[in-house]
Amino acid sequence: MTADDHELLSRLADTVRSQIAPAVDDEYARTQAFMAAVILQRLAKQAQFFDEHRAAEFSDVAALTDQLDAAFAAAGPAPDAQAHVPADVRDAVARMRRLSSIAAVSEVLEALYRWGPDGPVAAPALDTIRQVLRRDIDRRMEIAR
Amino acid sequence: MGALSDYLRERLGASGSVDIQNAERIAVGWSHETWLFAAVWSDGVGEQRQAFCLRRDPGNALLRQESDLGEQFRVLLCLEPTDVPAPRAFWYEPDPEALGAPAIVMERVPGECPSPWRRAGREYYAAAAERGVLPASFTDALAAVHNVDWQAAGLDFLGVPGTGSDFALGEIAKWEALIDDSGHPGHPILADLIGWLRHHAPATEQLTLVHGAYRTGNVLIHEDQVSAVLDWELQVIGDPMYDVAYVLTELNREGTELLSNVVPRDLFFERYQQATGIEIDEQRCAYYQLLYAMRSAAFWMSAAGLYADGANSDLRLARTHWSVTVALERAATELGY
Repeated sequence: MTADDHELLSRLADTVRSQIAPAVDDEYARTQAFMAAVILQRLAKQAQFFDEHRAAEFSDVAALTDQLDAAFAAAGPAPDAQAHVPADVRDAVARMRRLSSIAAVSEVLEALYRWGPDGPVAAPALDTIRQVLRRDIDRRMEIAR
Repeated sequence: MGALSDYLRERLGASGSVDIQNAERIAVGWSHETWLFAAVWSDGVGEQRQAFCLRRDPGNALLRQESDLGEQFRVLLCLEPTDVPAPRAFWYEPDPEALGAPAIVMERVPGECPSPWRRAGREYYAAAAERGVLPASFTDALAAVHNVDWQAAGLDFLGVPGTGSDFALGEIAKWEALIDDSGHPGHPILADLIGWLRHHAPATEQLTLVHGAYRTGNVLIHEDQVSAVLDWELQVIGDPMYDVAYVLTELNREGTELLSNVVPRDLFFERYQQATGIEIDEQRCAYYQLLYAMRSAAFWMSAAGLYADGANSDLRLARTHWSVTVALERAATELGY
């Protein structure tokens, strides 16, 4: 997706909305044409923000894994503090680091809920994750709105 | 219309052909086709005329997994002797050869069903709220649903949840299955929401019939009274607060303090509690509002999936890809993000 894609899709959306849809007689088909314009406009926004959002996601996930690793390192007494964190939680965070994807946060969350979301390590970890997810959904809302 | 005429001829005991008049498909809901028509026939005594409503299952619509017409038909039969205003159901036809798709034929109840998502609909409900009759009738109809003796009515075929948090956990599992089936990529907010809902699932203190989507837009109104509760697609035996939460939610009112666009909050609380003897538990309602956020996300994921996999070409479904984001943003806000 590029800025060119954004402009092309925006123009297509405008054409469908202002020229094609109003010329359709059949009510169902006309509604579908207007809907197509809405969808093209959303795709145009997706193209517009693609690079910016991807970079922000990459940065957020990297920072989140660092924060979680640090929190887990302080989870118990040295020298093996992270042993106090269940293996599935640690594995999920490691996978999230490898994938650099917000989607991989789901597995971390599922593992934290299995561990117990109110625990002294899990609860602040959840808060940290939610800050990242808030930023992510706000970015997505720039497209969905 | 020929197939419908033939179908009705046999069932109505017509001596000749059945004339189908004023047939129109109405644009309601996302799950089934709804047709209104009048049938005119002679039975040997004289000319008869009756208005009907036909619902057909095209097999590729939203909530097809949750919305079996056979079950709807059975529910409507069970409700017939109760105080719940609901259409009388005449026939269920499971054979797609007969009417082009599985279908139920019901009476056409007089009334209108303005969409609360449109300005004209909201103005309609605001004016009705001013007159004061519909708010009471809307509340009473929900109370009637919750007052049904569901065991005596034979509604236990819907499945009866066990004690404790079984009802809430069952609903979570149902919507999770729809999400899994949708093929739509999930989002961590959904994982958080599901984890939170499981962790905080409330115990259900009382089981009633639950409509599952009780709001304006799903009830028919005639002369300011609810003439029929419609859309029997999501009904369950469960916690009545599940329905109450749907009435209380801001999702079902836009720019008004009136619950479901029509009922003043105080009136609803007082009248509902008096009619049912059930105390409204706002904390449990708040929980169910988050469960509705999950359900909304599941609906939209399922809808977008139907378009994406080629099962349905309605572009409204494709657009719901972005409605998932809106539902998740709301869930995040309600979870305190």
